[in-house]
Formats: sequence, structure tokens, C-alpha cells
Amino acid sequence: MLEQVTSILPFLAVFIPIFFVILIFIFGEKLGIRMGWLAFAASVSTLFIILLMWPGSLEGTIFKTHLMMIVPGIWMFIRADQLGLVLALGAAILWSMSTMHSIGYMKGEHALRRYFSFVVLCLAWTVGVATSGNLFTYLIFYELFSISTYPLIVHEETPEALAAGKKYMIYILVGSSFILFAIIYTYFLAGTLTLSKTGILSLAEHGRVPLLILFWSYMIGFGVKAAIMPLHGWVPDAHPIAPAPFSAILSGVMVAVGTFGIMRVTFNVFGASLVRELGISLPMAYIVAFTIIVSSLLALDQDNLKRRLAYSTIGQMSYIVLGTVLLTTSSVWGAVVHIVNHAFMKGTLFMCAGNIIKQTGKKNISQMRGIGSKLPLTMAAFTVAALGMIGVPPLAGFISKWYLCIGSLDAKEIVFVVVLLLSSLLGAAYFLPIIYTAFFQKPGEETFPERHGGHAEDAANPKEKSTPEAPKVMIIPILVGAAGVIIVGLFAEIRYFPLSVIKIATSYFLK
Amino acid sequence: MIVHDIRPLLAPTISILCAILIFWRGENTYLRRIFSISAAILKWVIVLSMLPGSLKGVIYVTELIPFTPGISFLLRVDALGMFFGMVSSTLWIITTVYAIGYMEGEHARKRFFAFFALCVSTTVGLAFAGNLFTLFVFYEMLTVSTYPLVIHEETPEAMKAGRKYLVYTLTGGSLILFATALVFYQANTVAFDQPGILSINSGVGILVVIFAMFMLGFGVKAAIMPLHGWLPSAMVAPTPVSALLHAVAVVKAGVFGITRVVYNIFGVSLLKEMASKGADVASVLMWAAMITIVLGSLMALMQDGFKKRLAYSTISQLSYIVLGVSLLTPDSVMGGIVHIVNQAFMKITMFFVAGAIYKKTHKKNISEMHGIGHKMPITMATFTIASFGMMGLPPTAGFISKWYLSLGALAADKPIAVIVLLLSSFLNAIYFLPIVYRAYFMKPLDGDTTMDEAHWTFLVPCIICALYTIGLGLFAELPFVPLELSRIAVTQFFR
Repeated sequence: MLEQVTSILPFLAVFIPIFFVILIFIFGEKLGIRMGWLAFAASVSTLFIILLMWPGSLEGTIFKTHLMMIVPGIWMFIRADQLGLVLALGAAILWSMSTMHSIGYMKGEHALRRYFSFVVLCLAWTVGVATSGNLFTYLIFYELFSISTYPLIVHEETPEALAAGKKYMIYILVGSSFILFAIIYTYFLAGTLTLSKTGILSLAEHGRVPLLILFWSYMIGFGVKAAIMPLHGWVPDAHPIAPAPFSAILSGVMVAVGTFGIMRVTFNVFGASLVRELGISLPMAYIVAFTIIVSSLLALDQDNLKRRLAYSTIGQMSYIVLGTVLLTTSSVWGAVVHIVNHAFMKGTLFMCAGNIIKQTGKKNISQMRGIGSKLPLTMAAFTVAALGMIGVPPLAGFISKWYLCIGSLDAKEIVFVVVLLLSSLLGAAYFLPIIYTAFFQKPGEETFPERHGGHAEDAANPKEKSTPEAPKVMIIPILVGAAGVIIVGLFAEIRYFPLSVIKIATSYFLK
Repeated sequence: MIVHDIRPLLAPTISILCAILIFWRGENTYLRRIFSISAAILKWVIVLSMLPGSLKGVIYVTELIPFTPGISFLLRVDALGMFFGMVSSTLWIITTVYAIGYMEGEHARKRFFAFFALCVSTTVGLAFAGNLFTLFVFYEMLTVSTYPLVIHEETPEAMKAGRKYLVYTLTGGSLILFATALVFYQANTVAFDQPGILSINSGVGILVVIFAMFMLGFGVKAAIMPLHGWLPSAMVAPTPVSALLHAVAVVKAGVFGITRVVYNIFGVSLLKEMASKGADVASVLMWAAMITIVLGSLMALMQDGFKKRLAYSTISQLSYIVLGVSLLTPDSVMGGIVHIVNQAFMKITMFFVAGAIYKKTHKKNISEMHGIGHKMPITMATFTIASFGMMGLPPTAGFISKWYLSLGALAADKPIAVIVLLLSSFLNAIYFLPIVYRAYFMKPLDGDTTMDEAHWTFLVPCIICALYTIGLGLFAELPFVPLELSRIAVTQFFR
């Protein structure tokens, strides 16, 4: 039962943040760090509007707003379908957490007005991407999002940050060129760009070769943002260098926007049956399986905490793509729900890393001995989120992994089950030592004294002993995140939780 | 529907009157300003009054004096002419305001503003020209009346650039004259018509010669490589001149001439017939345009002078239009024509910004522009928007052009053109974004970050053009915007 309703809600969800950006721009200088609360208000208002659409969405309603015609037959068209709402919901929650966290983390930083304006702008564009009704609108918001991220990545304006920003820009612009080409070509072939339930292309009409060119152009284009290897190069540089609350957004949602693009292309442009006919899901699945394993191995090797998290993100995104291209009901459930679950988990992890940096100035895992006794709440939240990442039941990550495994079995591809389990194992191998170092090693207990100085240095630093736990604004978001990881895992099957909306979306994508 | 009307004549005449008045009483600063601005507005109103008619497909005609049988001085406003006339007269107002601020304290302002008016007069005359002969007259007048503006500074460098400019364009002009004579000899008329006046009966050989001569002639002003040499040198001119003439009037006159020749002298069906007989001249033009697009962008990358970089970018962008014209499909021509106005607004913003920075800080080179975004945030914001437009990011005007050009290229079964366009967008990003980056994300060398914005006569034109860049991206499909007019022009070509 699908019903399309014209409503102002999707429009509001996109434009309320823009309204707040104007407020921040006008009053920002006067408010100082307190303008963070404006950013928080923007995120919460957006979240509220998305929640207003949520019950309707559960009934199968799709909300839409036609804005304006850009080229003949192509509207700027916002439509909140079930798949889009899930991403928008995840984004709005993560932004609420992250903007609140920023109020603590960004205290005393420079260029606050720029930071908060662009953070809130990015929310608008993300919700725009999530609720685009056609590829054209999608492209507009996607490009705006890519560009608006740049000032946030280079926020510190250090040489490394600027270099990472440059790398980011080059990767993303090349990716965008592929996407633009693909979209123009799609319009040329299909004569429409509307995202339909079952796809707008057909093998009989357009021939095999053009469709293959089209598919791989899309995959390369979105693959850059989704960090599929070998297109992932910008991620390990850009994610750690941004301010921690924004790293949370980058890793939690921004890369997911790339995987979301892949979902849209698979389900709404090609359609599941066409992708099956073309036989392109398996090659794609092998590429992402490779990414999952290699990124996990690379994560093992990182000492910088945020860098390790960034490599973990690369692997996790490929979970989502894997679930998408396997095209079984369960695998798609697992993929979509992992967007939300991963946003919770990775967002929490990055914000915890932010707390550690802000309170102790430590960036490397090898320096974090005994940090659990200094920052108990932070490290507790970190532990929950990390266990979620590994896929320990009953946490959020387990739910995703469960459905992904079932889906792989349904698709009779046991190799991917092995990949997923191996990845969990590797996840344990790179997350557990952090927890161990934090809780079970004493401060000053040096694993490699010759490499990192020694006892004397730590003891001589009295400030370190009295490191207090982070302020409330930085603790509440991570506790909410950790609670989210548990709740989403425990109550995944309850009505009103993302999975039930996803089931509706999947039911008509895979028909 | 053809309507005889005096307005096509009135529009260029007003600017000539303005030029005469400035020569007469131009020492007085206030009179000079009043003349310039009122003439600009008056002319805009006259051109605008014909717009509703043009949108309905009306063609306004003024026939003046017959020179020889078959050749007369004829003004004829069809959709394409209207389009170019509208662009020039709109931008003239904006540039006049800017020039008044920019030329404050410069020498020989009387000469400057008089010739400035004369240039615009000839540009609109050129837009409204009804036959090749009238077009040629205005084309040459444009060359001559721009010369005093190019050499305005009267430095040795400027004089040299002026000479180079004259040599290039006058050579081009003589080729056009020769080709015009050949057309008259073959077709017994030189009037623009739909769909062209030549026929295959003239013989493929002679047609190829005529086409080649026209392209070489107009290609000089359209800066198709390797005929582009004058344009970067001419950047010694004061910035308002670079802005209006070298982003709009002069260079677009070349592109406009090419469009006229392809669609109103040859016509689509004749060119396709020629192609089927082995003389695919349109494809040659297409390749020349594609090479210019890529090489122009690559050379822009290497420039450190701000205006020089903009000049090479102009060379590259002009060939977008030529590419659209040469692909011979309705969508591509529409993309090309609409790029006449989109590129004009975007590039003029950039020149305005370059001028504002120069006036404020006397910096000409990109490598000196560290942290200029802290000093002049609004100016640089408009530049950023224009850069996004040049890159063709949605939702800016540049995207609309690129969209139609790409669709047209696919319809013409030339996917290579799409790839060239995407490559060029990418190159545009590489040479424009570092400027934005340097302005906003690098600290000023002297450490001074206090805001010190340009005067309003600089800011207002920049802001208007930047708003256009966004507005035309978002609202391209509303009535009374350029896209509609270009669509009518295209239906006239492909009738």
C-alpha cells in the first residue's frame, strides 16, 4: 500500500537548517561558542520534522514536495520515501549529538562561525540527498554537500589539514565527474531521472554495453565517497584531520551518502531485476569483500586512534555495499540498517576520540595507557561502541551483521559469510587492544619504552594525573550514542524502529 | 512574423548619441556619468521592449539604405540577435556602474567613456545585423572602437598589445569580407535566412573554402586556438574593458558570427549534406573547439597573473559555445547559446573581482593573494560562486549550459564531447579553486586580517552577477529568462 502525499514536511526538513545557518551567520560573532546551541537547535528541529513523517512512513506513505523546474521535465523534487527517511533520521540524530559535542570540543578554537555554519549547511544537504526524488535533485545536494565539507576538513588550517583537503577535493571532483556523466547518460537513455520503485532502465531497450558503462560510472563515482578500495585514498587523511565532532559526521554519515547513492542506483535507477540480469552484482561484491578485509588489516597497523577508526569506516561502508549488491531481502535489510547503526557506533567512537584529544592531547593509541581511569565515562561509551562494531550481540552491529550473513546464505554465497566473520575477528583485533590499553594498563606502564619516552616523562607531568573527565556537553552525546548502540540492537524488531521502515522499502524494491 | 519597426535602429543609435555627447561635454564628470548611465538604461529599455515580441517569434526589421542591388544596410532582430543584444545591453549597465568607480582618478576618461559607449553601440548593431554585410561593418567598427580602450594606459606594453590586437582582428576581418563576397557570388544575396542561403549546387569545394574562411575570420575573435594570441595580451586594458569587451562583446561577437554562418548562411541540412559528401566541416570545427577547450584550460593552469588566467579560461569557455554550435543538434546549440549569457555573467564577475582586488591592494598575481578573503570576504564570495559556475556545479548557471551541451553531444552520437566537457570542468576546478583556497584558507602575508571591502560601485555589480549565476541555475525554466529565448532561436534554426 503506497500512497504519495504532497506535503511541506520534506521541504521543511531541508530548509530549516538553512534558516538556522542564516541565524548563525548574523548572531554568530556575538554569541561566541554559544552559537553551537543554535546548531544544536537546527539539528533537533530537523529531527523533529523527520519524526513527524515517521509514523506515516510506517503506513507506507511517501511525502513529496515539488520545488521548481530546472530543465524541462526535470523538477527540483524532494520526496521522502522510506529508504531516504532512514538516512535522514540517522543523520539528524548524529548531527544533534555532534553539534552538542562541538560546543565542548570547539571551545577556544578559531573560525567558529565558519565551522558551525558549514556543519549545519551539511545537515541540510544530507537531508536533501536523502529525500531527493530524482537524480538531478540528488546531484545538486550531493555536490553542495561535497563542497560544504571542505572548510570543515581543513578547519585547523595546518599544512596537513590543507593537504588532506586538497586530496579530498581532487578525489571528490573526479568522482563527481563520473556521476555527472552517468546521470546525463541516464537521462539520454531513459528520458527521465525520476527515482522509481523498480528502476527506469531496461535491458531490452538500451542494450547491454551502455548499461554496463553506466553502472560502472556510477560505481566509480559513488565509490569514491563510499571509500571502496582503491578509491578510498582521501578517507584516512581527511577523517582524522577534521575536528573530532565533524569526523564523527564524516565517518558516520558522509561516506554513507556514497553508499546511499549506490543503493539508489541499484534499486531506483537500474532496479533489482536488471542488476540481476546484467550479472554485475557478484563482481561488485568481490570488490567490496576485498575492501572489507584489506581495510581491516590496514586498520590493525594504525597507531593514531582516529586513523584506525577511519580505516574501520572504509571496511564498514563496504558491508553496506555488499548487502546492497547481494540483492536478497535480508542482505538489503542488513545494509540499510547498518547505515543507522554504523552512524551511531562510529559517531560515538570519533566523539570519544575527541574527548581524549581535548582532555589529554593524546592522539595515539600507544599513549593511552590507563586512560580509562581518567576518563571513565568516555572510555565506557567507547567500549560499548567498539563492541558494537565487532558485532557482539545484542548490540547494533550484531543486527546488521546477522542480516548480512543470512542474506549471503540466501544468495548462496558462503564466501561472504566467511568474509564477514573474518572481518569481525579483525575488528576485535584492532578494537580490543585499545580497550585493554585504556583500562588494564597502568599509566606509565610502557610497552615500548624506547619508542615513546618512559615513566619519567609521564610522572613529571603533574597535569596529566589530574585530567578531569570531559564536560557535560561532550559526555551526554557519547552516552546517548552508546545507549543508542544498545537500544537499536536490543529492540531492533520493534515497530517504530528503523528496521520496520526498511522492511517496507525493501518490499517494493525487491518485488 | 516580420514586423517593420524603428527600434532595431534606435538601440545602437542611442549609444552613438551618447558617445557624441561625451565627446562634446565629457570633461564634466557629472555630465559624463549622467550621459553614460542614462544611455545605458534607455537602450536597455528599448531592447527589452522587443523581448516579449521576440519570445512570441516576432522578427523586427529596419531596412535602411540599399548599397547595391541585393545588399542593403539591414537590421533584423530574430531570437538569436535579441539574445545577444539583451546580454550586451544588460551587462553594459552593470559595467558602466563598475567603470565609473574603477576609472576614478584615471587619465583620459572622456575618451574612455566615449569609446566605451561606441563599442556597445556596435555590439548591439552587430547583434541586430540582418545580413552578412551589415554584420561585417559592425564587426570592423567594433575592432576599431575597441583599440583606444585596449591601449588606454598608453604604456609601451599596452601599445604593443594594441598593435597585436589590430593585426589579428583586421586580418580576420579581411577573410570575412572575402568570404562574404564569395557568398554573394554564389547565392546572390547575403541576408541571413532560415535555414541558410547556400546550396550544395555551388560545389563542395567552394563551400569548404567559404566555411574555412569564415571560421578563420570569426575564429580570431572567438579565440579558437591557434588564433587566440591577441586575447591574453589585450589583458593590459583597464579591467572594465577586459570585463565587458574580452568576456562579452568582442569575443562573443566572434562566436555570434560563427553561429550566424553555421545556421543562417549554411544551415544544418547543407552541412549534413556536405558531410555525407566527405567534407565534414562541422566535425573539424568541433575538434578545433574541443582542442581549444582542453588546451585553454591547461594553459590557464600555468598563469600566475590573475587576469591572464581569466583570459585563458575565457578562451576555453568560448569554445564551449563553438562546440555546441558545431554539434548541430538542437540541445547542443541551445546549450551553446545559453552559455553566451551564462559565461558572460560568470566571467564578468571574475573580472570585476580581479579589478576590485587590484584597486584595493594593487595585487595582480594570484601568488600574492594570500588571505585576501579575510580582507574582502564579500568580493571573494562572489568569486567563489562564479568559480562554481565555471566548474558547472549544480545549481549554478554553468551547469545548465553543460547539461544541454552534453545532452546534445550524446544526441549527435559524439560521447567524446561529453568527456571533454567533464575534463574541462575538472580543469576549471583545478585552476579556480586554488584561488578561493588561497583567499580564505591561507593567512595574509602581512598578517593583517581586518576587513577592508571594496567600494559599493565594485561590490554591487559583483553581487548582481553572482546572484544571476545562482538564479539562472535554479530558475532556468521560468518564462522571460535566457533559456526560453535560446529555445526559440533554436526552433528557428531547426525549422
